[in-house]
Amino acid sequence: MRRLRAALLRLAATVSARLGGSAPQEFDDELASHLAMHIEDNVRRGMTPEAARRDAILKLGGLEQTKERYRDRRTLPLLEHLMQDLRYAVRTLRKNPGFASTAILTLALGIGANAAMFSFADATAFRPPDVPRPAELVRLFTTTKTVPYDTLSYPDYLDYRARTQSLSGLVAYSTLRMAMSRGRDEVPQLLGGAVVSGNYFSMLGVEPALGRGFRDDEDRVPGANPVVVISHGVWERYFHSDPSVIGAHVTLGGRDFAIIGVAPAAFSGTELYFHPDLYVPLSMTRDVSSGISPRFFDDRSQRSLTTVGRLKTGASVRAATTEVAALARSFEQTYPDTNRGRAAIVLPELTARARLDSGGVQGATFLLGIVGLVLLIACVNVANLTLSRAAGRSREIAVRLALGASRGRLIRQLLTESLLLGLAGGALGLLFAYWGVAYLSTIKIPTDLPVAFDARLDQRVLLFTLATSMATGMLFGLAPAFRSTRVDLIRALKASEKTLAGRRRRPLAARDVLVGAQLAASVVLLVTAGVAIRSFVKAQRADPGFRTDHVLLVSFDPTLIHYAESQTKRFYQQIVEKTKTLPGVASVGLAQYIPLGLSSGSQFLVVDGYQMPEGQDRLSISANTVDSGYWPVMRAPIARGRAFDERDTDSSPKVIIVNETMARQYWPNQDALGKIVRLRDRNGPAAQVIGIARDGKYVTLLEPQQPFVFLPLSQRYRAALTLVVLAKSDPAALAGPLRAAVQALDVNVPMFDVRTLNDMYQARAMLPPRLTSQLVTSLGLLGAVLAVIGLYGVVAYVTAGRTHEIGIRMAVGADRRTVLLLVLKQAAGVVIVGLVIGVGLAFVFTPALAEPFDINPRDATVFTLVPIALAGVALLASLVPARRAARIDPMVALREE
Amino acid sequence: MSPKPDVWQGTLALMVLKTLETIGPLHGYGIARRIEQTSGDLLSVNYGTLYPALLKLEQEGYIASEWGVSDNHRKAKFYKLTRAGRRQVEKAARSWEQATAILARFIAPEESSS
Repeated sequence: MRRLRAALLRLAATVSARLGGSAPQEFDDELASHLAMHIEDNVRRGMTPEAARRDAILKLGGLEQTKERYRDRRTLPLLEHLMQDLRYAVRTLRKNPGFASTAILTLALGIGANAAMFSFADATAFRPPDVPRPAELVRLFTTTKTVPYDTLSYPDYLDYRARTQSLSGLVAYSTLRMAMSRGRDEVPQLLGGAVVSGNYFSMLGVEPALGRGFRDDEDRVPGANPVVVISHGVWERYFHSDPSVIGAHVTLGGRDFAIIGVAPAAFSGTELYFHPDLYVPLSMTRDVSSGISPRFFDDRSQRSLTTVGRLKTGASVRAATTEVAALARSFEQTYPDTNRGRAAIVLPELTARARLDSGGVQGATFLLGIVGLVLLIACVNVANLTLSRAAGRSREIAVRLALGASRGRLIRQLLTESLLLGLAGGALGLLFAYWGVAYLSTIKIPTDLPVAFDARLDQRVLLFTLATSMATGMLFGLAPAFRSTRVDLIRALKASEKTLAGRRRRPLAARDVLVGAQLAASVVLLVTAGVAIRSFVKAQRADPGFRTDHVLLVSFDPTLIHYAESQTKRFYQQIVEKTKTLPGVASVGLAQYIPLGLSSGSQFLVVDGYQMPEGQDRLSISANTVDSGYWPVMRAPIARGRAFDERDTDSSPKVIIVNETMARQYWPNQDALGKIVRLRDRNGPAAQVIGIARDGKYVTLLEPQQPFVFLPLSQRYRAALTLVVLAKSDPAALAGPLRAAVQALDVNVPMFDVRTLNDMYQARAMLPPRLTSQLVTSLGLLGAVLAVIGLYGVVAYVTAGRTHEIGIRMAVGADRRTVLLLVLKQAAGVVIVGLVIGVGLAFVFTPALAEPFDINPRDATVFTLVPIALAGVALLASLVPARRAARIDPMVALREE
Repeated sequence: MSPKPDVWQGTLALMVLKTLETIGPLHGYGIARRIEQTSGDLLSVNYGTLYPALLKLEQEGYIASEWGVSDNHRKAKFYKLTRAGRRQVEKAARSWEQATAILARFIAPEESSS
């Protein structure tokens, strides 16, 4: 406390000294009185007045020294120096508005781009869930040889939760569509929900904004706790933020649920994209959707639960993994039928995300790398500017050193200037970032579900920007500060500014390094950007393998209102029949997934006669389930054999269609037609290959060609389907009549994601490559412009510094050509070294790109063009000042000294 | 709560406080002379170092100052103990005694054994 009081008083004194306080005068008086008394005593002891005075000052330890020590104690000297430095820096920068604004603008572009990109990367990969202590969160997976990160069954989850010692809590949830209506007579709305374990809110540490969360035991008895917590968004949209909503009832899947709580606005679940509207206890899973297996609660092979745990204080991920692995082994023995060969692992939440969505994390890292290079180039530019200015300032620095300023103090002062520039650049950069984020926020994921890409300028971005600005200030300020304070005093004081710039050999060497670094960074940036852009352009031109025009999509899931299987089948049969009769409809089909749509699936199978890799007993192949109407609508060609038709029924022999890649890969040098595969596993039902579909794109436009299978809807019941309708003219015009047709069948069946295939295709398939290439292009351009300006500046400055030398050479007889060659030769050395290093680095780094995207990392065109273009710029940059130097009258150049 | 300054800083502060406790309100020069005399001229310090120490004690609230007139009718700044200062003298003196007592135990047996 006493220390705090003292510190505050000193702070106050520092501030009041700024405002011209009277304390120093008071101490002068006190010292005067001290000396007077001392002198008086001394005289009384017989000294002469002069001797008395000298003795008194001597005993005091010097007048000025005492005053300084006193001042240091009275105020906070460090703060005082900092404020002095800051004021001085502001003054210096204001005296050089050209330098200051160039530097700030350059840094702002670099930092702003980084802040926007960080916000993007945060939204696609890195942002942790908005809960207390997110670093403690881990994910628990079960794992087999074929599925490395699998979900858990309800009984398995309860066992892990009960027996784990290293986790302080383990929650489970599964995301579902839910159909909500506020009264019996309201048509149900489709919302995105999560069925969650009872400890969900308490373990995550989320306090509801209103009402309560779930009790730990509310997830135990199936059907016993019809309660729901609604999201803040739903509370606002559907209940007008009415606090009396607690205790009100809503209908979910035809059953009454009591609203017990409203989740806080900041909480949006634990998934990056899916932000649940409704939270319902796990025990109510079957009540909100009849699509869930009746054996959900006791069958250990019904795995659909995602789990999030919290490490106990002091427990390590490694210890937790060891523990759950042991638990998994004991479950293998107790439940061999379902759990044999099934291990378990624990991963930190962020790591888990990176493993599950490696594309997102790698893509984000790639963009951050690119934008980091842009900032590096900006830093080199500003470092170079600073260095040029330091040469001009060396006289000022020499004078200050000569007058007794310490080198440390000068360095501190120059660094303060750099930091100030960095922070100013950061502040302006935030404005750029704000625009960038505003642009990114226009990205919409095309679905009715609460799935959102959420780029924002939040605390994390601000912190990142601050850190980047400070680091940037240090990065470009440190080297120039050290270099420019190492001055040969005598020479610096004697010489003029111009000769200093040209003559000192060491800064030239520093410049060589800068030029080289800049070139190398530019090559890496431009090559990477070039390679990526070429691939993305290729992807955008790629043929997806199906038509995207004239098709309307409408999705259904009758299990949300508890249709039984027979009811569901009848519903789809009726709606297909009815739609066919609508005017303007050419044909109609059904599919489980839309290619390049929001979701995709896969099928386990075993190919008869195909030798499996060691340790693997079945294949997991991307798959879709479609009816016979799908093919004519999508105009997805069957290369050989036939499509599904009326012959394929529930009771007829099972059939399957494979794509060309699948046929080539698993029946090499044979005809795949007529061959047999077994669905699920070695002992599963046999299906005959009746057709070979032309290859297409299935999940993303950037994917490498992958094997794919189609299964007939008639032989494989699926409740959630999308109706694909081929229109004779405008497909969007069919939405109204179709809605009427559905409501005529059953007004309660929710229909959702009603949009044209073209809209879906543009937003879902085309946007990622287009957006990425836009981002990479603009970053590449920004980097290139900065690099070219910087490169030109450095080379031109170095050459201009040699005017005097060139004058001498010409005076002693060198002709223009010799001079030009001389300048070019010197520049060429550095340029070539920089380019070679850059190409080498690019060669090493670009293959990392091939991981997330299907691209050619060693694109020869790009690797040739970029270095040539940069070499051209460097050449031009040295040529212009060299020509000017060569034109100079030798006498003028010589007289400059 | 209790700061742990280096020995000299700590002892100088204690000397100042103890002096003010014994003599009552006193100006800087007087305190310096008094410390010098009490130490039997063993301590020869710059008087100048006294003033930052006084300022520190004042900032910490152990002493207060006001301008007054000295015995020789000179204007001088007088320092006096505050209530917190009195408590601090006791505390500091006690911990000082403790510290010296502990040190003494280390030093005494060595002297007897050699």
